[in-house]
Amino acid sequence: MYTIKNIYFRDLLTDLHKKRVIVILFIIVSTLVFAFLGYQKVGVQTALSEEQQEEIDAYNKRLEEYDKAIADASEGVKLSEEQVLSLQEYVDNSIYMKLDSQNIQVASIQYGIVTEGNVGNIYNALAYYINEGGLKEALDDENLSLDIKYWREIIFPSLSGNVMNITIYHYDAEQAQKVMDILKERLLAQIPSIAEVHGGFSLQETDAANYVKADVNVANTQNGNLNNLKNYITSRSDYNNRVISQENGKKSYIESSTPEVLEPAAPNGIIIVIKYMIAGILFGIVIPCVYFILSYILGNRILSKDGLKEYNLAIIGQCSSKGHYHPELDRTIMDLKLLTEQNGWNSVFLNVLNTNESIKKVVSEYKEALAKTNISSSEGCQLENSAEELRQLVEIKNCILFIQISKTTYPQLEEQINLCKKFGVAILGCVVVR
Amino acid sequence: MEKLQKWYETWLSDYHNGELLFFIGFIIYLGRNTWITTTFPFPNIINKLCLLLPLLLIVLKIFFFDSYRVKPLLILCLSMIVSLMIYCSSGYLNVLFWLLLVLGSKDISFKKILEIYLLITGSIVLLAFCSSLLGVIENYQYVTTSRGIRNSFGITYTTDFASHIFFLILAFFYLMGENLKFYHYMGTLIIAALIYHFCNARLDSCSIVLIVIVFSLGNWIEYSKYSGKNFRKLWKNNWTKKGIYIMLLLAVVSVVVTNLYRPENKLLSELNTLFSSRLYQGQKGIKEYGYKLFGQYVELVGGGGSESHAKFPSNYFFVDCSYIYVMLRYGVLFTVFVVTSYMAACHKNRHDLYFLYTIALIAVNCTIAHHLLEFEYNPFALSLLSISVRNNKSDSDILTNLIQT
Repeated sequence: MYTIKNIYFRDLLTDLHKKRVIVILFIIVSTLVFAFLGYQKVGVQTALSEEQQEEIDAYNKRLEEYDKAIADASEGVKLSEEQVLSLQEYVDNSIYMKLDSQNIQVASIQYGIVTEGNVGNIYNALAYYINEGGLKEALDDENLSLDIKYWREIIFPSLSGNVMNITIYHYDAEQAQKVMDILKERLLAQIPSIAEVHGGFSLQETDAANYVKADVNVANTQNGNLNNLKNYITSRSDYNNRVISQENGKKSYIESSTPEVLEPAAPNGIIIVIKYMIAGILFGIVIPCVYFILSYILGNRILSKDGLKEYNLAIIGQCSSKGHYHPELDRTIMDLKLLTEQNGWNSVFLNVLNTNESIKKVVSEYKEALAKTNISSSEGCQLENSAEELRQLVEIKNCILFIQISKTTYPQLEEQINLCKKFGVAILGCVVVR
Repeated sequence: MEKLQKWYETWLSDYHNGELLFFIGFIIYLGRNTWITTTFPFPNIINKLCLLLPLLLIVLKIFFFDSYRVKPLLILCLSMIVSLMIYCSSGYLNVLFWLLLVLGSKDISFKKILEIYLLITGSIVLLAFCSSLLGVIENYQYVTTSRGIRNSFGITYTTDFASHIFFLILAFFYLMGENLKFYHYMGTLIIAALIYHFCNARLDSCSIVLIVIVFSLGNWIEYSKYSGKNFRKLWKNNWTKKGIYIMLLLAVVSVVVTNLYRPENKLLSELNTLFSSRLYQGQKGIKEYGYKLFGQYVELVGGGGSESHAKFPSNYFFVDCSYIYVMLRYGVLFTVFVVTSYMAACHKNRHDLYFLYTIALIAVNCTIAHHLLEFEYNPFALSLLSISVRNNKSDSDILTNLIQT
């Protein structure tokens, strides 16, 4: 068994209108529920989820690693820069680095140390004076160009027996001699101080010479310094590259891996709540519509006169809930009168499919109206159970079906139609009552 | 006690109550299954309830309202045993639910089933769509270099959204049948274009266009005064006789092509690219898992969901072709059973051309999507035992004959 019907959306609108109070209430409740959910979400969005926090922590940690690497590399750059500058300055300005290892201008002097004390101590004192001591005191303006700060590595004292030899290397013979002269002067001036400590002594110049020599050690030392400079420059370059590489790496990482949410957003709470409320309104509208349409599909009640179309039943009259007939009752009765006269019937059976007050009222009005046109009528509502009613129906040979919207079911209608077919009873039409 | 007895007998005598049992179960099951394809939250306890309740209701309907002759009863028992064996072999209960729903739909109006499907699934998809646009739920956007941004509009994956739209339109077109008008076709083409633009679901968009082509062509041939009588007859005969076998043909072709796939073969390689590596994935599944009679557990890693939306899984493995998917997971026996069921449904409805068009389109779509057994996408398996939408004679004609005196 199945029911055949179409769903008419105007029935949906009618039902929505009929039950508008409940529907509106439902929409309001749904909107409020969603507004509350939206409000909750605003609260949740101000705090990050565990996953988000982990993602951010990992991201920040990685950035810190990048920053540390960049800082270390920058520190390396700075250090190597200082080394480069320092060494470069030395390479550019020191007397030793300017020496031509194959053409060194040498000024040398030998002193005999005459003393009754310890020659070694006296020599040491003199050597310390030359290397570490007052020999490095500033020169007068006239001799500034001699660059006294670089003398340490061009003056070589040595002792053999009681002979002290002092050799000065320079690239300029004249300057070598000048340095020698200043050294002699200061050395001799230092004798009394040394003598106080180590006992009296004298320095007797035994020989002095100026000559040119070649010294491979100078070349080696110079090359060593130059290599160091080169290494420092390379190191500086490496550190620079490392800084650039780390900075680029950091930039790429930021571009590719920045989390969507870096910090708890300060969401626009009102907009979120409004969006949720709109969703709530949608739910509030859709759910009742779904409910009503489901009731049409699953239900078997006749919802409107349109639902009778498939049965090809003539709708001879309609009565609204306020008791208005369409067409007018007189017009319908006229139709019935003509039909009965045409077929030779003098009676009509009013087949009532529901028993309630509104349909009973309509039936009684039809009975009265029919009586006025001298057409008798019988009424029945229990044809499936009442033998007497069935007998009347069969005798009269015609009927009008009285159907009530939302009360009469399709199975009821089909049962009556089948019954009429079975006994050859003509269905003149139906009256639809709201 | 007597009163209860009387009430029970009255209740049993009205078949409408059986219908109600089925539909309540079907609505809950369909609603639940559609809901979980969205990004709406779904508590686990309600999830379990929405599986148990339909099970109970449909079983009640089968026991109290259905009757079977011996042969169909044997087939029913055998199919239940097979489904239990599939469960033991693979751990999947899907087959059991599928069978129960098909059996439960016996003598139920298929038109009502489709109307409820359109209503429930359509409403949930619509609500998910609107909610995702409002930001109430996630709209997973998958960003790819070659295909731009693909939106899923509140559904877990873009192609799942497109599949929902495909099947909803298909059900609607089937119900409308000869009442389809020009604006239905135009509207559907616009929807297909929008799906392509916003979801970049190429194959599903093509499937939707195919719906328009097949139905419009069918209606034109059937009702247009410009189509010749002979051509109409030829069209109808071909569909009636051969339309039944379309799903079988496509199932066989899918399995054969997947097995024969070689990257060195230029044609198959091009086909694989066109179908977004479906041949490769299918063959991978066959090589890894092989064919089993009663199926097996197959772990599939798809591109949908919250984790994949953030980063496409490196271990992606998903068999999109329904025939391969069903064969791997539920076994060869069940695959044959499903295809046979569809063929039987087509035979039953062989005079309903719209039904044949529909199943043909589903058969085509199932070569690229895995929704053959999922009622939230494809409710047409329920046509097997239910009351057809269209018979040789229209239902209203039958009743009209009753009224005439």
